[in-house]
Amino acid sequence: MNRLVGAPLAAVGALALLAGCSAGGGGSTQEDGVTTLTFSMWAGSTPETEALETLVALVEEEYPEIELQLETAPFNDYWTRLAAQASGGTEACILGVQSPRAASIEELLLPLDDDMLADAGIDLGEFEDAIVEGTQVDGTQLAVPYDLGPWIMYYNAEMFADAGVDEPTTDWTVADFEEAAAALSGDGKYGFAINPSLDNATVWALTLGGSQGVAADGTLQMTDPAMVESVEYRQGLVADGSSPQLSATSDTYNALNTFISGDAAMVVDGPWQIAYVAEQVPFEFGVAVVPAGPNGTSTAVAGSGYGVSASCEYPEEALQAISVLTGPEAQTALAEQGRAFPSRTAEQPAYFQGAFEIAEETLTAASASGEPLRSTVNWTQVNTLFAQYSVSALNGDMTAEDFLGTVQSQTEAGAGQ
Amino acid sequence: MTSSTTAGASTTSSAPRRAPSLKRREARTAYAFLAPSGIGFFAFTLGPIVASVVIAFFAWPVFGERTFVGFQNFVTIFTSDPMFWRTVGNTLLFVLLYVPLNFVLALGLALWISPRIRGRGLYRLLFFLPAVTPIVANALVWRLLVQPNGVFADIASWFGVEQFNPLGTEAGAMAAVVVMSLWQGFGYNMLVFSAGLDSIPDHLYEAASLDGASAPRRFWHVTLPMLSPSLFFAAVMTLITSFQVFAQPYVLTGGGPGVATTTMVMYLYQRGFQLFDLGTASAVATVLFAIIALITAVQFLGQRKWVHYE
Repeated sequence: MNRLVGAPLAAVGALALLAGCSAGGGGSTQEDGVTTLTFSMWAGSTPETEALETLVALVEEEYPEIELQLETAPFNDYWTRLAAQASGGTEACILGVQSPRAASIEELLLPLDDDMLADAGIDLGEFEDAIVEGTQVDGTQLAVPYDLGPWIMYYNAEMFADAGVDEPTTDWTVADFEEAAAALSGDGKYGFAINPSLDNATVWALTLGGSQGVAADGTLQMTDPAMVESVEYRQGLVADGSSPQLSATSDTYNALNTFISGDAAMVVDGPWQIAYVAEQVPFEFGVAVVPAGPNGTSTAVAGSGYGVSASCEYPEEALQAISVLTGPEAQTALAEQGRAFPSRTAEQPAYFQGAFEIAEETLTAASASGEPLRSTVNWTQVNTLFAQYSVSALNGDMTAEDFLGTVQSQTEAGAGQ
Repeated sequence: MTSSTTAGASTTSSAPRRAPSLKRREARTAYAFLAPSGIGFFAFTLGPIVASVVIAFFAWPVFGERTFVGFQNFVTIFTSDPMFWRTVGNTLLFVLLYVPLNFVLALGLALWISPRIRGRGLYRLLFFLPAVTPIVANALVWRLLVQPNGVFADIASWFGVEQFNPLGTEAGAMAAVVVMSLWQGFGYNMLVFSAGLDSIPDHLYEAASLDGASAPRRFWHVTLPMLSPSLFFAAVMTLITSFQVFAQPYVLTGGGPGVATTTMVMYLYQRGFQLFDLGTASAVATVLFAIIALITAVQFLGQRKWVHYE
């Protein structure tokens, strides 16, 4: 998932990328019995790159005849670079695949059938169902997942204590949430920081109305009643003063940073941020499930995995490498570092230690009740437009129907070409 | 070469023959000197421009088949694309706000730090600093200034403004992008104007004063005509760069709220690299190129009327 800690860095990187693309990609070779495979993955910081290098070492230890050539880019640049490389036919053999973006790069990936997976020793039955499904497009497996992330609620335990509000429990409801948010607001502080992104809207649509902005068959249904409810509900939070007004920004960390700076008591984000939050906050924080709506709690689940590019000349070797990259040992290593919540159910307990102990109950409950975040082929565009227009909508300058209808019609017009 | 050594009889014919060979040698030397920048120009400027125009006539997805579609991409953006005209409008709005304000600010400050001011070198440096700081850093600082709990919001609250959130409204976000761009961009033109002012000979002002010209008349009839080459240069460059505005909205607002600050270049970036549709992106780029070329041509035609070279 998107672990990059500096959206600004991503912006710098993107500009540098526009100025002149760096070389890379392609170049998988076989020589003297050693297969060299290119492996492209996002990494936003040195520790992330180091974690990937650890995984590469695991692969080369397990399969001495495979050598991996790792190339990394920050999350947003990764996709830009992938597009540039794919247009030149030089994409890497092993590609990082984020579940909501799988559909948009479907043509680039080799469909993984059961035999191929079995030959590489991968049993998808050992993985959490939601993310196995999340890395499929139309029932075709496109990647082997390595992590999993149900969206959860982060809360500032000190602000709750100071205001005399009970901390969230696993069975708290939307009404409890509203009450807490109102009680925690005032004096320039807010109960809840809203992230204008589509995935956050989906989280609320799932818990309030039980469906999301993409139908099961992959068609965009922005104006679904659950989505309208999700937007209207959060418009109410802004209007009541429980949430701050939104600003147009390219910073996807805006809401999270409002929480981290202590200006908002709650925020919804993924477990991939726990390490960042734990490192940044000067206060005691906790995590809880998203509050339950009328039909119980539900949240969106996303995650990431590794796929084989369709142009890869050595798909068997690539899958062997992936079996190690997503294997128990690799997942345990990442979990112990707090880098990823394992997609393998047996390895998940390795994650719940130190700063992550607090997340055990929440993540277990959220993973069980979560639904894969569905996506469309033009997912990036839908997300961009959604995030941009939701600023106006949540501030109350646009009705929920107008807003969602605009996103729907503009992306349809864009996709129809 | 050999003919000149053997034939003493035909001096008249050997002289014109020698001249082209010298000319050719000089030309060869000239080409050798031109080669580094020439090769760079063809490989990195002209080549990509031509390639981009060619791509505009194709359905060119990043993945999959590329097919020639003629003018289809242009027809699409002109007729059925809901975004294209919005982004043209946004770009024009930016240009119309930014260019005149930039000129007023740059010229005003250039006049103010005229030779009479002590420490003008320092002022020049200070005003030029924003132009050389990275735009991404500028945008991050501006974001801190204009966000709802930022410095400007604090100042606004002294005047009783409760909800100061320019980036939350469409007009406010465009204003923020323009103001930030002004702050970033006026230093360059100021330096150009300042240098232009320095080169105006004092005797012209003295003569005008002796003839009884007041300060405004001296400005109007001496300063402006003498500065016109600098003004022309600045106008051409500023218009071109302002039509190409990308980094400011990209970093500060992400193109929002809605699509209020999505400019043409931002839009072609999104189409190309988020929607993986290089054909349409190139069509947008080609239209932008045509607009800029047209406006620049008009400026060059119009300069005869008002630019005075001496």
